[in-house]
Amino acid sequence: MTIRHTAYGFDAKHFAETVRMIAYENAVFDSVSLHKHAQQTFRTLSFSHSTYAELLAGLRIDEELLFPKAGDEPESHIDFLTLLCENLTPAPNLSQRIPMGYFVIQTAFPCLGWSENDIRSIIFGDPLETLLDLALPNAIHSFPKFPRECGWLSSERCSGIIPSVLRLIDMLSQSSAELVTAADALASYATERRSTPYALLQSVFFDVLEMLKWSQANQADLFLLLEY
Amino acid sequence: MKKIVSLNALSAVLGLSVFIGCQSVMAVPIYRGVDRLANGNAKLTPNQFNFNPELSTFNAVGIAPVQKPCEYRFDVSGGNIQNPPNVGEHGDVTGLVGYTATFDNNPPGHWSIQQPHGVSADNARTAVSVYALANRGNVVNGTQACQ
Repeated sequence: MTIRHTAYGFDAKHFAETVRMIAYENAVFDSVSLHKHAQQTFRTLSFSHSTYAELLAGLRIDEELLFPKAGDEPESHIDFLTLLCENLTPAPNLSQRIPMGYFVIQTAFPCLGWSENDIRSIIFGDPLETLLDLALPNAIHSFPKFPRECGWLSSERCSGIIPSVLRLIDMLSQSSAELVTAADALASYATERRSTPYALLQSVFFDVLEMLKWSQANQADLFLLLEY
Repeated sequence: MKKIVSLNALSAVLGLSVFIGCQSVMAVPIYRGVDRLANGNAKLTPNQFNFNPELSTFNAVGIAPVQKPCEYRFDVSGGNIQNPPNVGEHGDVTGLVGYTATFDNNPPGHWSIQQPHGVSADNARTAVSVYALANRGNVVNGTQACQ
């Protein structure tokens, strides 16, 4: 497995408050303070905490980025992500039943009436810029773009998507035209995997549901990442 | 006259070789998406080449699930790889002794690079980074212009 989906739970409001305390002085964003705290967290955790080290590796964050050479500016989005990683605990993800579950979703879900945005949300989450805005309102102009392979979903967002996933699971017991089209789209991929389109669909439906229900049950927001 | 016949025979043989060459390829380019530094240079440090447990690459730019600003090209040769390749075909990665790339087509277009037996994932990513830094000419543009 060389590409894998990972998911982590966290408390977005708590994280936002923490970042605000660190890097918001009189409603002005303090990038130096954010950077110092990120460096300190990296020093403390990267060599002693395996989940933290795995997360940083998945995000391709390393010492070079957090301790840039003289003359190179630190990047605030890297600092923000480094601090976020400290708050994450593993959650069910979309690579549990099928390693490439994300690909099955991207291929089949458009045939099942899901929009590109909805599909993006369950794989990559919503853009981290919205989490940044929660933590540091009006500071977005000081940040480079966050990587698009990761994002977040609030617990409320997760709960809101669950009914759509339950409808997909209901479809499995009917032979709707949409399901047949989705199965056709997966036919060659399933054959190469020595599986069937319906087995693949069932697996990803339950992976998605498990991930979202975990968020709902734990009242945890999700950080999602497709490691590549 | 005899010499001309020999040359004709030779070109006929060469022609046959060319025909066979259309079915198997000499070297297959495969691409790994990498990040970009503020100065436009592709970032080629070890964390861009994580083996988990293998290094993920694709046979074209822009088809990876995650679009990176830059791409790094590796070449795969040997192993009688067909064009298009069949799942399971593999070859050597140019410049990285003992490293092989296998076409698994999962997801479509995907190739996995495996390190030599006994080499840890950490050492493998460092070795690939050292190679990439020494061969920066293999950097190609991804979603942005890179050097």
